[in-house]
Amino acid sequence: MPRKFAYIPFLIFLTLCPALPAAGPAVAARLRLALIPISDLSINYNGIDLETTQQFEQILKQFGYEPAVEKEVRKFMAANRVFDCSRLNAFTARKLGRELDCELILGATITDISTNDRKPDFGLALNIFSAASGEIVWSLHESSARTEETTLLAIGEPRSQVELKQRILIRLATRLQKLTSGNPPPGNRTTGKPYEIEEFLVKPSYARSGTPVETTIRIDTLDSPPDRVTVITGPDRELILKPGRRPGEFGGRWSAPALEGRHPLSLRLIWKRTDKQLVYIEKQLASYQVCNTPPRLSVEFRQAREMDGIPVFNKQVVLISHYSHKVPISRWQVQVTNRKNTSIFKETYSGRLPNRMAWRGWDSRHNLLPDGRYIFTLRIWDAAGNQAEVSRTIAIQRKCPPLTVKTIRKERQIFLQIEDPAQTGKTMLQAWHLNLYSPTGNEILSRSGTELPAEIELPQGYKSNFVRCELEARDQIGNLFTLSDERIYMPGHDLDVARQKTRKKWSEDF
Amino acid sequence: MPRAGLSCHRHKFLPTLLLLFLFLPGGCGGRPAPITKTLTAEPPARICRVAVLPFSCSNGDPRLGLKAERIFFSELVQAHLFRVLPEGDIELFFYRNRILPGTAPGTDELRAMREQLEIDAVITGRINTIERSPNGPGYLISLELDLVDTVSGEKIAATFLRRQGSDYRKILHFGLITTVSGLLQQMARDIFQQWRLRGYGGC
Repeated sequence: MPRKFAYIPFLIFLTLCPALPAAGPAVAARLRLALIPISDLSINYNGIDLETTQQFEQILKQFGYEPAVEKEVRKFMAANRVFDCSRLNAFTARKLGRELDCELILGATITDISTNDRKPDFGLALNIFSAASGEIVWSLHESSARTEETTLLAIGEPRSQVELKQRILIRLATRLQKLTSGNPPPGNRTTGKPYEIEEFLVKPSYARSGTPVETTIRIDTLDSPPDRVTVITGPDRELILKPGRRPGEFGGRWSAPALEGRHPLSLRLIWKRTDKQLVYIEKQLASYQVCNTPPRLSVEFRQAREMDGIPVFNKQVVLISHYSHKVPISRWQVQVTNRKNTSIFKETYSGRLPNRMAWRGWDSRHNLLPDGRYIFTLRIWDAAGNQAEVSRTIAIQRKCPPLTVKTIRKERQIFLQIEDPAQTGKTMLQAWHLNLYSPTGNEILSRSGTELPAEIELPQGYKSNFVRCELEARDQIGNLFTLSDERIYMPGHDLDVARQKTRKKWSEDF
Repeated sequence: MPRAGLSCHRHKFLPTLLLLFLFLPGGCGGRPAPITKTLTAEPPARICRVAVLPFSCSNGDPRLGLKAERIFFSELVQAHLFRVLPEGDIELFFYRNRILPGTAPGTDELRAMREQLEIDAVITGRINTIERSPNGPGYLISLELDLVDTVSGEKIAATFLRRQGSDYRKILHFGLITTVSGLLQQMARDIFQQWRLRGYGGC
């Protein structure tokens, strides 16, 4: 071949390079590792792909690794509540390495997988933990698709999902081999704590001074559980926790101190050895808050009219609550009592107090309460158990006070007098409107006003012995009073009695 | 003689030029760098140990956020920028402190993380857009990545990046990325490379 074309074979080689099958694995030193079942997020949040796990395990064996027995790995996972690789923390990795005698722990997640075999794609992220230190020492990620693997003349292209997956897994194993060959897994067995605080539960999170506070601690250890566990509750206060029912469980109880505020809790774990004792301190692992100040509470009534300092409503009253608190509100209660102090409505809810709530004047059985005055009480409790309460008298008024219309004679003039016999109208009436008609239906006069009692002079020379009256009045709450087609007789007439009559009920016709 | 000499010179450089044409990263020149804003005056060198929190996704798919988090986690370990805390330790911390998964930790929680997990910062991410690329095969992804200080709860750096698979095309199909994970991997590399240039990590 002439020298000037010498680069052409090299070019062809480079072009075909991706198509060339992977070179046979160079067998590494027998490194023992544990492969956690591979997570597959395409299945669900906690999905696991056992088929790919087994496939990868076989490939790792070909590359000279010695994977731990799958059953043993799963047994460990079940015992230590490790559902997938995401739950594997540094301590559990160390424990796994110790129990299964591994040097490396592999946790992998499928980041891409195609369900369409014609357009395969696959991706895998691999985290490699050092079993000695429990830390992630290496991490690898490989992903590809058929379109990314296109080669000249389609030689060696992956034709299916299985082929592509195999190729990616081999690439990962090759990269892993490069990392591990000649490099012992980093990490020192002496580093790291020999335990992990799995749970540190403090109940309640908010307390009042003097009330009991409980704690439950669950500790997972590499060897034996600690001989003594104490909880440091204050600068000079330490409490020895008692062992619980299960191994590694400890619990204790003490009284909340008088000092308000957040109280951090630390742990002291002691292992007694023949020659020395090992002491580990976990600082400020949990906390609880002491609060003795009740929350401040006030209530504002909306959609109600203030009458003599009492909110009066007809359809519903909206309560706007204002409160300030140091700790969250845990529950609240609404109670309505009548004048005899009998509770007629009481409901308790847990959680946050809503900013707005409406009461339609119902009792506990959803019956409408009669008009009258009631005592409305709102109570709230914060998470520490401090209570705040606000009570207020409210009134239900669903009807406008009945008005009377009568005729009176003053000297020679005849007046029509509108009155509020209950004398409540002075403050409650908003407006009234009166239409007077002759017995034949002709309008005599029309008047409006805002105050009662009111006197309206009838036209001079009115001859008939009665007038037809239509009266409509509205109180300030919005209740309506109507008199329709009411006969008002002239003074001195036999039926000179102003009749108070509201609309007939339909049932009265029967 | 001079003609022959010139001809020989041309043949000598032709393969080199051809090779450069084929294998130079074509998209590299025109691709804009990630937009990174340094938000605090804190010296970045003191950040040694970090944790990657699950990413949030604008389409509300938590699995996509988790997938992105694991890819970024993997790339962060490979980049050797920081020492990265295993995901399981974060899970355990969230469980122990009764923080719901997916909840962004507040300042108090970040301080507790610092105390208990001995981390200097957390990396949070948000995928804003993920859709089929309008220009050819592959996907278009835009995301934000923040480095949050565990002492103050403030963002140390915020990076925004928008990429599509064809941005990485060199020539023909070479370099073209058609998978979501492949694109996220490249984006992670771009961001961490820029963080390195800005002086983050490496302690």
